[in-house]
Amino acid sequence: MTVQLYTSSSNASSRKARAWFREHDIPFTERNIMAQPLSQDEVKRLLRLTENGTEDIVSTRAKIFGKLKIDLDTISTGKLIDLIAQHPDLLKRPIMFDDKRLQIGYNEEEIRRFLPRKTRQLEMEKVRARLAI
Amino acid sequence: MLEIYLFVNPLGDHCLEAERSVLKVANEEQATVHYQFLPLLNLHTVENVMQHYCPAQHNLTTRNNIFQTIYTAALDYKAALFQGKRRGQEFLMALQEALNSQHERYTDELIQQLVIQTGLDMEMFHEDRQSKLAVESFENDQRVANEMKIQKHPSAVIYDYSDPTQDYGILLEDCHSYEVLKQVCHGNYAAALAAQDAAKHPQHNLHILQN
Repeated sequence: MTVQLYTSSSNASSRKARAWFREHDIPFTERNIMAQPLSQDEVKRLLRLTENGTEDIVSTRAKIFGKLKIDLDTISTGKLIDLIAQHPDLLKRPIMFDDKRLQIGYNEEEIRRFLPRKTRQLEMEKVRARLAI
Repeated sequence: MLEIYLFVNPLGDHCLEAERSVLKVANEEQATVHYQFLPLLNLHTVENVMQHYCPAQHNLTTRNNIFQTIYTAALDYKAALFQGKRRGQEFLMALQEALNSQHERYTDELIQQLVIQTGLDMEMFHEDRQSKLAVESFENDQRVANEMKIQKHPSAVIYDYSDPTQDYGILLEDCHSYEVLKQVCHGNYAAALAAQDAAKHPQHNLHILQN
């Protein structure tokens, strides 16, 4: 799966993430989530790769968060997903993910997880030979 | 920074042990550990479950039943994961615990009870259970398993990002042992092999996944 990069314009971290993927020749699909908000299913696809669910991807510093008077301790996950689909500015950004990992915000070290690796299985004996060096 | 992908049978107690080992390693490591438990279902895993639970009943009906139950459990786990990995993993481990230690049967009542116990949003869970989205997510995991050449459960793939020369992942089969997992995470492959030998599991295998 090609890396998906969710960004918004005028966001410095989004620019850094984009530059990093270009620099490392890693193909990615970028989507401005303000212009093209996520559907509920798309929010759920992100959530399955987060540690703590909605609290990881929601920006409590966003203006809209205060305006909607969201209480993260009491709101149900389903209701919060509805709100995210309606108000994309509730989301932190950038968000980048492939089929098995997700990263929120730009972090120089963590983004290295997206460096592609092809896999080749070596036999036990070759491992042993390596260890014998 | 480490990444651990653990491929499990969502019903199995052996896999529960492997999950606990991963949690222990993740808690003890100073480096950040990103880990994920992925359900695995293939002909080999069904055969393995059959031999474990009902070696005498090698008929097609039993096989189909086992396949169906693993598949249902995998989709339920995927549905729970839409509420975040932590809650999803809690649900999975509570399910494996209930089936193996408390010898519960896989019923809707049990699932209901576990959903409450792990604090999942009930309405959302029921909406996602058996949904197209859960099926798609399960199929995605089988593709990841295929890419990483996973055949058996429990298997782990470990990527270590702290060492720039290590551009490959280590595939560890039958990886329930905490000791073996810990040694691989520390890059001590000789110690890991020794620990495997000590565990007296001849099927233990250590492979290197490489570019």
